[in-house]
Amino acid sequence: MTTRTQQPEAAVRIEGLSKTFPGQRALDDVSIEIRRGEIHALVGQNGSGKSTLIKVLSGFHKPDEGSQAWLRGEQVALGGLSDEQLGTMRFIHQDLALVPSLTVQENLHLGGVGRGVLAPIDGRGERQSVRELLRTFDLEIDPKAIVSSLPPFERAAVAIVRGLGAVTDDVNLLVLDEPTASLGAAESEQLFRTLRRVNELGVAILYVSHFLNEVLEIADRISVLRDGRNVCVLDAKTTSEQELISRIVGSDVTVAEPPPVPDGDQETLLQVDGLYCAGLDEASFSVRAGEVVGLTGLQGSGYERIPDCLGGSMPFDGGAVTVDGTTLTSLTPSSAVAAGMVAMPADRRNLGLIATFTITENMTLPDLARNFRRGRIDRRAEDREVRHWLDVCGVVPPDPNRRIDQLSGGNQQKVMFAKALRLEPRVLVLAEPTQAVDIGAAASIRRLISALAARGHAIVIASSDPEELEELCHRVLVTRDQRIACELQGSEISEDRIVFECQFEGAQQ
Amino acid sequence: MQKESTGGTAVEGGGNPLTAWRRIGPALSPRKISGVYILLALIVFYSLATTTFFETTTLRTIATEQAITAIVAMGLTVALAAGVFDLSIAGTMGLANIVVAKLMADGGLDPVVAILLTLIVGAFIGLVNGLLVTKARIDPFIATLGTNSILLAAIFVVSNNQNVLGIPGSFQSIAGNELLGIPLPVFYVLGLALLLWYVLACTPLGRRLYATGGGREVARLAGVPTTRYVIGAFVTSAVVASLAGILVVSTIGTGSTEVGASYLLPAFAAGFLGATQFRPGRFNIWGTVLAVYLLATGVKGLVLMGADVWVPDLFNGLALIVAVGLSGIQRRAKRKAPARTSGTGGAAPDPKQAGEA
Repeated sequence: MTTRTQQPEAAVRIEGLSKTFPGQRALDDVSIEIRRGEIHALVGQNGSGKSTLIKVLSGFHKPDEGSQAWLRGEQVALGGLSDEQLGTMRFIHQDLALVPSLTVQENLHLGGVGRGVLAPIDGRGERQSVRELLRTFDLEIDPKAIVSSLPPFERAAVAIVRGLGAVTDDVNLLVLDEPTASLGAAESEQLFRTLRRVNELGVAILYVSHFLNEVLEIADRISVLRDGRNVCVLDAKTTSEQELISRIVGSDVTVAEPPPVPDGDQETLLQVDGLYCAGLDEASFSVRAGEVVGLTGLQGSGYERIPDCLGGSMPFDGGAVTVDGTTLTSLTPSSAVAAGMVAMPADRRNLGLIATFTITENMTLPDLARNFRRGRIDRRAEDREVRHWLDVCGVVPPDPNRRIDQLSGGNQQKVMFAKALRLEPRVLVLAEPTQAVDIGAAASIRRLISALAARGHAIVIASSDPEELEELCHRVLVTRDQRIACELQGSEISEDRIVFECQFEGAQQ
Repeated sequence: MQKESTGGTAVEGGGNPLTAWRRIGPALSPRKISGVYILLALIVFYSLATTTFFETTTLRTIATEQAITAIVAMGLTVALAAGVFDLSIAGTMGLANIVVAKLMADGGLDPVVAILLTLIVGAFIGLVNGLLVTKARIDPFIATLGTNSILLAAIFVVSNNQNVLGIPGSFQSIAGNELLGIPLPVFYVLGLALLLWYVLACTPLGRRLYATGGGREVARLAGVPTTRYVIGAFVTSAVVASLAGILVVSTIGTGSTEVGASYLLPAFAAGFLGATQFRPGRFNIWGTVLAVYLLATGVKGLVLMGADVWVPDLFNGLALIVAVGLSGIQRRAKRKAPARTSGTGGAAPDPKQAGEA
């Protein structure tokens, strides 16, 4: 590979890059070439070296001796880049560095160039210039909108615009480091258009993400890192997701075996009748024992409200929920559990787990009475019980006294499963069960879900990931405009069909 | 399926000294009880540096004087554990000390009745704080800053801005008497510490209180009635602060209009410094008690070495800042070394075991 002649069109080219931390080699002889006018994706599991690579690029880490790098054909020394050279690369990180409570306009003018700190703000002129700037990127976003009220794509877009500023010839590369939460299909398409627009302005893009379907849709080429080494460069157009996953993981990932289709005479464990609340209009469906039912739709189309209502975190305004024979017209977290239904929220950090608590403390919180003996919590009994469920859910290492914030996202998610399963529910309601989780962990979580269904749990999965739904669900309900608009079953369930149904109405207009 | 169940095979303590050390060793690690080592070092240092430090009278003075601070700080620890600030402890203490004195001196009530009535006043203050925070949804910092000011006004009105004299001698013996040569307040500290430690560390109530503080929504979704826990924490903090106020009257023999404010900062400093001890990252009772005496010893030694009157304030202020800084550093250090799953190999969950529970 190293004998390839240097191509003048490469925006950035790096060869033989290594970075050693005490006791750990984060990058080992890595090469990457990002061509001008291309969207180049960088993928790999957590710890594969993605972020180290980006931090070397941004000058945060100094690489080991022996690497070579070119910016637009001009040889440079990584780790010793001049401010000017660093300025040709712009970085947008996960948190987007936007102030959520300020408007789009205010965000774009933060640290405003060429204005005195105390000079009066020319609101109208500013709005005009912001609108023009957004238009450069073909974006129709209201400059007066508060950033926190924008959907994920638009927030990312504002961050991109802010990162690039008024693009001049100087900007060579835009690095997007996990810029969005999971995007729906429609939003991925929008992001793709915006990034192409950025390309047209002469800027190459390095896109880091672990949402592989997004990557395949958006990128031209994909560099895969594993354990700090280059694995391969793939052409996104000719690569299947399955292939990409096995390259990332380094072995063939066994796809979860779809749970067996339950018999028609299995009892109905969950019956939802005319459920309505803000953002959801009269949803009705039922789930039998052993069945996995998917809920999906575009963001805001209503499906994401259903787990909130079922888990008791959001009161609903009308309708009834029957769990295992018990009919309830209102739900609290405790009454849901008492009836045999446990919901796992999508927002792990704010709703699911307490960061400063240990695994045990998190897991046993919903039912502490169980181990309360002779006037105190029996730590040993707690420990035994927790270890059992950690084993069931595949948490490695199974250390009950570890604090939650020291676990990887995948392990945190598995702890949430353990916490839910410990309550021995018959109905499990899962919201985005593999969100922000390693591919390996995601695969093992899906196997777990499938196994739970096979054991006779009734399972509802609210997910924005059509692939996950295709893999796991017997039926998929799609919401549009706050209603359940269609139901797919059996062979009708495919990624394409789900995406199509999500957007069906939009396509008609 | 190559995996072996680690279920019931956990190694039990046994008589092996090595296993015993493995359990006790980490508990003695400087990372968990650095405060104990610092306290010992301070005692040794001051004993060598001054002639008066290592004397029974000095040690007794520290133990007794700090009993009140320790009690206020323990009450505050309960509020902090629930995730709320209570700045009104100063005003609550002051009002309790005036009220209990007035009830006895002007009302002629029996000390026991006076104490009970005062505690009810304290509980009411806590209830108001709790309702302001949970029902009116006012930030705890602001709400209790407000109630504290109102309490200062109440102190002025109730006392007519005059110290209350004429406290019965029987009441003064509450703080003045000794048992086995040790002043009674030291026992109050121990008793209250044992009680609060037991509730916070050993019972579901305590676990739920910490959960409320650690993530109120998570706790609510786990079925914890978080509103009641927050109110309960404010009531506890206020009742305990009232106890401290009552003890002040018993110690000095008058109801003073000036009591309260000087305890606020030491209590917060002890709470936060305590959260770096024993159970780093968590407000805990023994940590708070240790921190109170650590700070007091530091200050006392300096005073004996001839430090000026402003030194205690400086010392406590620095301690608060350092404590909060330290806990931040501890948090970040922990996050730097996250544990990872061991990839995908063999970690397949075994569905068959799910049914065995």
